[in-house]
Amino acid sequence: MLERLANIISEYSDIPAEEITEATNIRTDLGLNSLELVNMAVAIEDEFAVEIPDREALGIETVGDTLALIARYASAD
Amino acid sequence: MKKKDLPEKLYDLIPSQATMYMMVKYSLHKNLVQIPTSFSVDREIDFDLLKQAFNIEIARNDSLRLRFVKQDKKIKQYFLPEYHVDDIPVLHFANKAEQDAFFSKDVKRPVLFLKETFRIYFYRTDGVGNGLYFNTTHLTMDAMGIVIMYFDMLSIYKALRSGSEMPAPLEPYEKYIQEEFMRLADQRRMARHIDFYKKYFLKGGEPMYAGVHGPAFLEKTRKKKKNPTLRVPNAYNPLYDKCELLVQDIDAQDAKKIFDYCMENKLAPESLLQFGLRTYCSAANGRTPDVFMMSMCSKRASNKEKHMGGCIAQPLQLRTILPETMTFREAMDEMTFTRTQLFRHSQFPYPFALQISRDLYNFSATQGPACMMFSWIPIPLGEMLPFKLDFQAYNLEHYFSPLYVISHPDPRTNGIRINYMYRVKLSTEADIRALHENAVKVILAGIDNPDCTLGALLDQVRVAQH
Repeated sequence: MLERLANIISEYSDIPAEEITEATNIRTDLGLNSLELVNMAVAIEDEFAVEIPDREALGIETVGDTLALIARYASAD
Repeated sequence: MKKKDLPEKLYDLIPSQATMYMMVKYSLHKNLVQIPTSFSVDREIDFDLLKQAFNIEIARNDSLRLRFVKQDKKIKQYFLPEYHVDDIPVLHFANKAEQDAFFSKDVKRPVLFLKETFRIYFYRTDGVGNGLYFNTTHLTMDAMGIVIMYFDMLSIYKALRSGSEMPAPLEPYEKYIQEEFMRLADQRRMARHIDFYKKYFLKGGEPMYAGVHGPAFLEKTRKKKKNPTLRVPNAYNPLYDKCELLVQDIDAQDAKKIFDYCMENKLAPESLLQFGLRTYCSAANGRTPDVFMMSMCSKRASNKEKHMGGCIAQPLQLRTILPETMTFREAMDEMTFTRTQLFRHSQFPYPFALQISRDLYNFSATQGPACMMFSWIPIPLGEMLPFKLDFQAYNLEHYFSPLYVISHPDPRTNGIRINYMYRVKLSTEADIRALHENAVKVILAGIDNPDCTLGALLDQVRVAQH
């Protein structure tokens, strides 16, 4: 799951997919603005067929947080 | 063009382009949807080399190869395989005033997109610098598309001069157009967008027009239509679209406070500017908490979209209802949340979203609750090029919205430049000066004390007198 997520993240940031880990900070390491973050979130939702509420998405800090949210909402569906 | 001469691949306009086409179709002034800009640098330019760079750019940037044709009463588009520009005029101006006078005249001349898609000049201005002026139809490029083109051209120019490697290729706009039609055909996704916008426009009830010029226009329209409860006047009447331009600056010191606050609090600079502007509009309209503006969204989020020409931007309808008891910090959170929701639905075509609001509230074609169109162009400060860059927008003299605010970081000063293009039928220069001065005042006051209430900030606003 990390590899699929890393591939999407690398489409929006300057970091190659292979350098992205669970500890990668979405906000400080990737340097994305709000439009980029939201569009990346939409791409992630499409890839994993989940819907993450906006307020929860705003609280994401790391790639690990993102994986946890994906797992939570994927099992809720 | 005869049908037999038309290329095989003809595309409809995508919604971003169709929005621009509709604006010019129903306007009396056909220069309404073009983007005239220029940049100059503080040193000599080899214009023969820059012309070569431009011709390389044409090959790299397919939006420069877009052409339009009318077929069966519809506008269609296609891509030329390649072409070459042999002659680009090099103008010489004795001073900046002469430069501005010449290009201000060109701005009035429409770029009739069925005949030409852009005009380009090189120039030398004594005491100022050397540069390029480019006036393009919005159907081929939006503002970010132009900035991407400028930076790509300058990178090519640098590579030609130094013999170094060319920059990485640009992404094709044609592929984006194909993908856009696939997105529009996704009924499940479209249903989610429609559902969001219906709820969004219904929440808070019918919006209220809170023009920067105050309530006089709304009150006059209420009397004329004998409807004392009217909330949205016909501020979008194309008969009264004459505009003036007022340019204002936020100095480097204040701009740094804004950028630093944004960095510390994970905010976008444009959301602070929008907060300042909407707070003034609130103050000018009896401190209404309900302010509606359009926010131009570049939609360039992925790396591919950020390295591509073309027109993909479209307005998002930013409505914020912020009670006076809210703090500045809470207001910024609320604005960020609203912007996030709108970004999530930024692929939904603006004309469709507009129609939803019109159907819900019976707005006519000239009615609209948005008091302004706001645009933020994120020009990089300082680090991209080894020389000072002066980026300039020009007054179109006509616009479809009561006020068009074009803001961007200013590489010359490290400040923020804000261009206010306002309809003279509705607003005065004093209104716009008061808008700018008070918008900056409340932004800085909020940054200094994020726990102060909106009520306290509104108390500090001095509305222009009429």
